[in-house]
Amino acid sequence: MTSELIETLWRQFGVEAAEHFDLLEKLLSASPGDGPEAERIAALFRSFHSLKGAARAMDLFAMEAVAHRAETVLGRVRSGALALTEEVAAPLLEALDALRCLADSGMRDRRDGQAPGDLLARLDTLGGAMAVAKPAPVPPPPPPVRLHENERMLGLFVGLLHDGMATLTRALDLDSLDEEGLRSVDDTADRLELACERLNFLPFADTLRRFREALAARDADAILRELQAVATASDRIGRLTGKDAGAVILATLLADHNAQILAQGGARADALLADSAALADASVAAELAGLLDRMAATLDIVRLPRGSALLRVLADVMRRTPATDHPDWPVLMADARTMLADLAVRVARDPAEDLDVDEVDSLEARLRAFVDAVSAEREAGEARRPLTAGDLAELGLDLGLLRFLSPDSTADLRAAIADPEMRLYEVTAFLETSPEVASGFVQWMGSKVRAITNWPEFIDGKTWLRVLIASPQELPALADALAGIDPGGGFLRIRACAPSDPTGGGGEPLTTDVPVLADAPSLPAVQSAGAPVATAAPPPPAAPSTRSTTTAAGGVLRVPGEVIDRFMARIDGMVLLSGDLNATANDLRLETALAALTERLGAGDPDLRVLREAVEHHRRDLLDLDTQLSRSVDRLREAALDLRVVPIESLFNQFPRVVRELARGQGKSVRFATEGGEVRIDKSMVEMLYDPLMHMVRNAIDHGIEPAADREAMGKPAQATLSLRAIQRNSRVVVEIVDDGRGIATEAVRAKAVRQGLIGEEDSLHLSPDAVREFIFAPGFSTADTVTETSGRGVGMDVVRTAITRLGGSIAIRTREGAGTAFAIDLPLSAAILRTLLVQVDDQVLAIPDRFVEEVCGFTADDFHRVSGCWTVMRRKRVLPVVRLADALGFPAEGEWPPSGPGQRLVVVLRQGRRRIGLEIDKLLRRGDLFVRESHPGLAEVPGVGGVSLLNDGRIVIILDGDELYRLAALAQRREADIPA
Amino acid sequence: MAKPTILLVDDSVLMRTIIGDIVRADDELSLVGAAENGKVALEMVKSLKPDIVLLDIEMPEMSGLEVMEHLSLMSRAKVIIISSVAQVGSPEANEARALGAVEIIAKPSGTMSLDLAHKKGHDIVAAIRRAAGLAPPAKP
Repeated sequence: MTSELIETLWRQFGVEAAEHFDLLEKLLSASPGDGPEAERIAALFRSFHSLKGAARAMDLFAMEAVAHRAETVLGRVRSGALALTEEVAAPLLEALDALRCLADSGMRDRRDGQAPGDLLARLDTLGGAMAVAKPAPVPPPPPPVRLHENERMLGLFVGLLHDGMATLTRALDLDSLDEEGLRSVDDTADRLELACERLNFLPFADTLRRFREALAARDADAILRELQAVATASDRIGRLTGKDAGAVILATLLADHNAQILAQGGARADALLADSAALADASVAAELAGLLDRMAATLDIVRLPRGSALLRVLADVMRRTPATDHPDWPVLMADARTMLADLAVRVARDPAEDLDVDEVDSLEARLRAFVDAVSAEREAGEARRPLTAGDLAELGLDLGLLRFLSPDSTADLRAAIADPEMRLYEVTAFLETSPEVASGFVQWMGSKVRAITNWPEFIDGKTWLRVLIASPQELPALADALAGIDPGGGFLRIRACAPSDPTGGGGEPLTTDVPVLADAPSLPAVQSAGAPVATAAPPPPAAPSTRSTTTAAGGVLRVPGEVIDRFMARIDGMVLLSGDLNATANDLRLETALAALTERLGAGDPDLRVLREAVEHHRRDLLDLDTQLSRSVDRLREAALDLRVVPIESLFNQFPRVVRELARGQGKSVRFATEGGEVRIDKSMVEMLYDPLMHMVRNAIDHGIEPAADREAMGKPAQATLSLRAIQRNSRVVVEIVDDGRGIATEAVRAKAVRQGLIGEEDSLHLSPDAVREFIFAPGFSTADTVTETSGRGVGMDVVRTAITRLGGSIAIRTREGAGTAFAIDLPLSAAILRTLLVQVDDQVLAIPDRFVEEVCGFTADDFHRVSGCWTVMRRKRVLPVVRLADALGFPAEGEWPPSGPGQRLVVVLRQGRRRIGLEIDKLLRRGDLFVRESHPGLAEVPGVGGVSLLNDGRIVIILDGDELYRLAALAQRREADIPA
Repeated sequence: MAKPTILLVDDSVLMRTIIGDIVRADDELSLVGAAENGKVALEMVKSLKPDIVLLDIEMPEMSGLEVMEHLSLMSRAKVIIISSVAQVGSPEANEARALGAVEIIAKPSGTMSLDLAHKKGHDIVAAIRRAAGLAPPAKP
């Protein structure tokens, strides 16, 4: 294992451990009501488990020991043997702290540490005896479970089928399927075949294998055949599991394919009908009848019931030995052709349209009349003689039925009436919502009862199927059977048809309506006319259960901070380099030299003139390049700055636990809330804001929030609320610490300020409440004796304000006595970038924050005068004291002081408020944006140093603290004045 | 004969690095991919069709056992469980076995010291080679 790999592993370990620590902190501090408890516990378990694994991989056995015990405890919580109470959470938080320490020391020393023994013991106690006991003897692995008996596996399998169906049907369109498409279909079928094998659905696996063979052979017919078999099988599995196994999809997609068949069939039927006389040939008529039946079936699938009904009637006509010699025949056939042509047009529309109801009715009636007339002539058989309306009324049947009774069904109906064992029933079915109900119903119809005829009925915007059946069974038995098919009710209803009783009064037909669900009396009864009214709309099909995908890791990349810092340092170097290029390209000396050269040359040597122009040309190119480069470096820097920003949540998440512990310590009940956690701020700000925020949160709990009893006495909720929120406004962010505690007692603050001598009693009375509250931030305002229950806040707020100011921010208070307090911190989004002036003293490059620099002026030695012991220059008619920057900082200074001799002396005019002081420097470099980095602890102690940054050549730039620099310069000036001239 | 292809599934980048390094060290094995969660793993199995899947159990969102349920229906890949949860005889191990895991081995430990790295790496490589029908690796 190479050392480079080992370094990588340590780095990954660091990032991963930190991620788990953050997560654990958040999860352990969350209140139980914050989300699903089981998920929280599972996540906790997983995190400790992962830490254990990572620790072991890195040889950090002490860390592994702690993580292992925490995992064991959570294992018991997960299994319900232990509740995640405060007593359990507290040691887990301790374990988290211990893990943090051990990970830190491990990374630092590359060595294992020491786990706190008492913590291990306590965790062991919580983890139960299991933690110390030897693992139980190994039981033999159980025999493999039959997978299809596993409901979850079955569910997965159905899901696979469902998802795979659409791909399978691509095989129907062989011509447009390229190699890759073919492979994808075969892949899918292969996977499904494997799944079938694994679940022991062997016949289905065979079907899929045959499908793949057909696919390989590119045998379109076989493909269609096997697909139909797949549809049947998946329908069966769908019924078995109660889930849609893709049969619906397949039916839909097959229907698409069927539309094609429909078009082809239509063309063929048209051709056959064109020669109406040829239909006298029984085989031709049979072909046409078969064709029409298939088309009718297809129309059923695509749900065009009128077209389907008409084609069936037409097919019926063809089977009954067409009377081609009848004078009406050619006319009827011509009309049928027109109708077919119309149908072809309507089917091709999107969405497909059914035939016009009047046209269908008229043609159908004529066809029936024709058939009846011919049949009556030919057979005159009693059984097939059409029933009359009077006959139907006598049977208690709907008169509308008349047109649906073909001679065959008439014969069936007569037979049923004649049979004393048989009773007539009318079933109303809605088959378009649930495939299970539809298939179960069709099966029931085929096996248990005799169907006489059926007809569609349009009810409430939906097409219901009404079926006249004959059965020897009683109504309740039939209703039970239907309830078995349609357990939810609503799709299937049945009623008995009873002959009208001639002795009954009112002539009302005696019908008995039985809803399929006996215990659902609220279901509307089927009206005596036979049409269910206001039938509750069938429930929509259950939405397919979609797996939650909320926590997909949206492309977040965790990078160790040090890598970003290194990256930043390099960009920083590049910014400086680009500045150097800019200085070189714009160097006046080159321009001056070129101008001098031009003047000297005059109309002289043409060769030299050409050379001069070449140099000039290059200079312009250089300037262009400089412009482009600085623009692109700017963009690069902006992009890099984005890398440094993190959601402020990472700061907020450090507080829930503190709040909880502080509140508990004081016996107060505090709800902690955060808002705007997604606002992104510079990473360095997170670190720098932590202390001030912690201070204010502590203050709020210590002094702002009242004990529960006091709160209740004031009519407030016993539980106080403390929130941290972040709001982004352009390039600034406002962070608020809000509590609903007692607020700040302005009068108490005023009195304290007077007592501390910060302001006179008289003056204090003229101050506005806002101005009075400002004393909270006064240095020294906070002393121990202000920490009383009535003083509200004030502990170390001067420190807080100083820290905020250092970040370039400000802080404001909103408060109302008795209602609460809000501190609003207004900050720039990034405090890490500082615009500075780079100067050089001796060999050291120094950066002075731009906002402290008024200007840089050049003076000659003669401009320097001594005024009351200090060296000064006259600037804008004012005396400006000047000290050497080196003296102010205590650096060894080399040049002469006071200045003498020829040449310019550069003075940086430093401002602080309305005061100015001049700093003499050796060399002015340029202005530059620097990434402020935390300075080395040794360097931080040097007075005046605010931070460091790196130059591209690796040299360190010392960034000076403006206020401190001013103080040091003033000090140096006074020292100088003390030295006698 | 083509080298057996291996897909590695573990939510920890650290573990992916360590185990990946161990697998890559054997010239007769080909590591074709590494997935950080179950969902990605199932997608990768579809496209890469690995011979062997090295699978962690404790993962967020979709546990290793859930991944196995899916895998058993959609892939002929042999599954080796690499997890410290699945101690021999544990409920997880039994379930993994029932779902068709061919081997269950512990996560590597003591990667830092060279000897241990070889020893633990040896366990993993040996399990993979057994599953792939290759000769056992030389003793470390």
